[in-house]
Amino acid sequence: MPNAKLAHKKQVIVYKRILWLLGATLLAYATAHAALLAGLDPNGQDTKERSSLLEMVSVALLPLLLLVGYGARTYKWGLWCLASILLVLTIFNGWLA
Amino acid sequence: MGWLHSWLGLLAGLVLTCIFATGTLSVFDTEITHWMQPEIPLTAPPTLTAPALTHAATLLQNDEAKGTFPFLLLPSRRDPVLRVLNYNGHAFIGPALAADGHIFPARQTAGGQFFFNFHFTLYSGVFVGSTLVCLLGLLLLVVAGAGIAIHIKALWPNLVVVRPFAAKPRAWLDAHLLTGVLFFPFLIMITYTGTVILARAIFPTHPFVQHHIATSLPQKSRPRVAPSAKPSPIPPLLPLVEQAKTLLHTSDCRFILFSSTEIQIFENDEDTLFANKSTAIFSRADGHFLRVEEKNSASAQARGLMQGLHFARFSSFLLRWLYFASGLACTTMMAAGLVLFFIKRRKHSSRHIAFRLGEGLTMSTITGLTAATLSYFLANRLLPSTLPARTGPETATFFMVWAFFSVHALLYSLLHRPINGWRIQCLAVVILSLSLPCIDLFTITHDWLNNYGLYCSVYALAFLCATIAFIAHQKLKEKI
Repeated sequence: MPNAKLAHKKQVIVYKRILWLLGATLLAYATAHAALLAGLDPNGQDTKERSSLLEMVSVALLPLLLLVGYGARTYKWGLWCLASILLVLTIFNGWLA
Repeated sequence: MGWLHSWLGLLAGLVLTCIFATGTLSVFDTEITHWMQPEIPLTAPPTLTAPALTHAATLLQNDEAKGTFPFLLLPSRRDPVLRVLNYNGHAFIGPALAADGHIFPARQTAGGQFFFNFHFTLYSGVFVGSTLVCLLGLLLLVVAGAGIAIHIKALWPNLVVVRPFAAKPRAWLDAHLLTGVLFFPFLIMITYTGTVILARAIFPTHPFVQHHIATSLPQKSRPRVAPSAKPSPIPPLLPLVEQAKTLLHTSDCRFILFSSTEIQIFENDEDTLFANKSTAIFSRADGHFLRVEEKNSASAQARGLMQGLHFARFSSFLLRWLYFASGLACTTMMAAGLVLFFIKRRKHSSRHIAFRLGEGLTMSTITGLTAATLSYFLANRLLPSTLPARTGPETATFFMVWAFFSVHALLYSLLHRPINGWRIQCLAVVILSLSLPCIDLFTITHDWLNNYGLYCSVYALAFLCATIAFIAHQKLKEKI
């Protein structure tokens, strides 16, 4: 394969990885935030206590979700997995509200 | 995962190395302040006396009249003097008082607080800096996870392999893996707890969570208005401290905050793993007891545990050294990773300007930051001790030296002479390290027996730094 074509192919791979990483980051952040919201009770009295604990959980979740989203690229199941969790949490949050 | 580990590691690693290096120094922030204020004798036991508190209250009221918000830091085992502190935007500074109430004629310095502030705000304000540090903390957790995923196959047959005399990339990789694997639990613990402490900065505020709304306003933009009414005089503080000890079931109190109507006395958290400070609140008008605010709920305890583990205030002297050594190992791991990144790509990418810039920035992060730190210590000894607003020139020295080393590193790297650049900077670090004990001995007439452990530790670390830089310099000589 000519060098120029090879370089172009490599560039495309890198751009795809960056896009994949961006997608995984956005989904992971949205999922971690949705998990935080799911744990909060909008009408409760102990929101400060709960949010404090839930922030700890979300901070731990965020890197794990990002690694799953970016790392599991076979059949794109990492991104699908994040999207599914986000959907479930969003429905749950909507139902709570 | 390799791509993720390398590139995120490079982008975040340049700043994270600085965050870890300054965090490691912050383990001994109080001791650094002691070294930088040699005029304060530390031999007396921590005693809280009425004359000292009365004089402190007068100083505090004078500061309040100027529109600042001072507070009192009470004597403790680690810092046995009473301090009246003001926040200058980056550090808590102020006079230290002896047991009889006289002010020690100590030089003004940001001391170890400078490193602490740089560690969690990058010296760029609480709002922007903390958010950035929190995001970088999260990135580090991702990079560490990716690193484990890469290394997991090799972990089973060999936990770590050390081949210091192997070919260059192999030796650097071994150094990266050795520190990365052995200190992995510490790395995860310190990164996770640090990120959790600043987590509020990265999640959006929720309208139904009252304390989110209260804390969402950026600290920097919050206007500093002087109290509308003149605060009432401060009642005698010693009886209040004694009463607070009984109410909080503690043997020591740590600091006292003042508002226009209240006096808040916080318990000392140096003996417990949980950095939760319960508070006894008194009326400022007549000193009568108002209430106790205890932080015993499960979530407060959990948060206190995170803060306690990260700040390590509970720890003994030995444990603090272990924190320091672990922090140093993690900084080494990141620095080795950065160097490895460029060694691996030098053959194919060295002609690219991005590569040159990256290598220059790596040089400025590793040797430049070391030189800037040493210069900060040297500036403390070389600047006149009576210089007004002395913290400004001290910190300016740090940033000016760092900027100079960065420009030098970038120039050498862009001129395709990075090895020469590394060698010159290593030599500069050797000279600065060796000059630190010499200048200290010639400029200060401190009593060695007062605190010989502190001075010996600083000299030993300066010699260690000089030795490492000298070995690196000699090794690089062989490459030319």
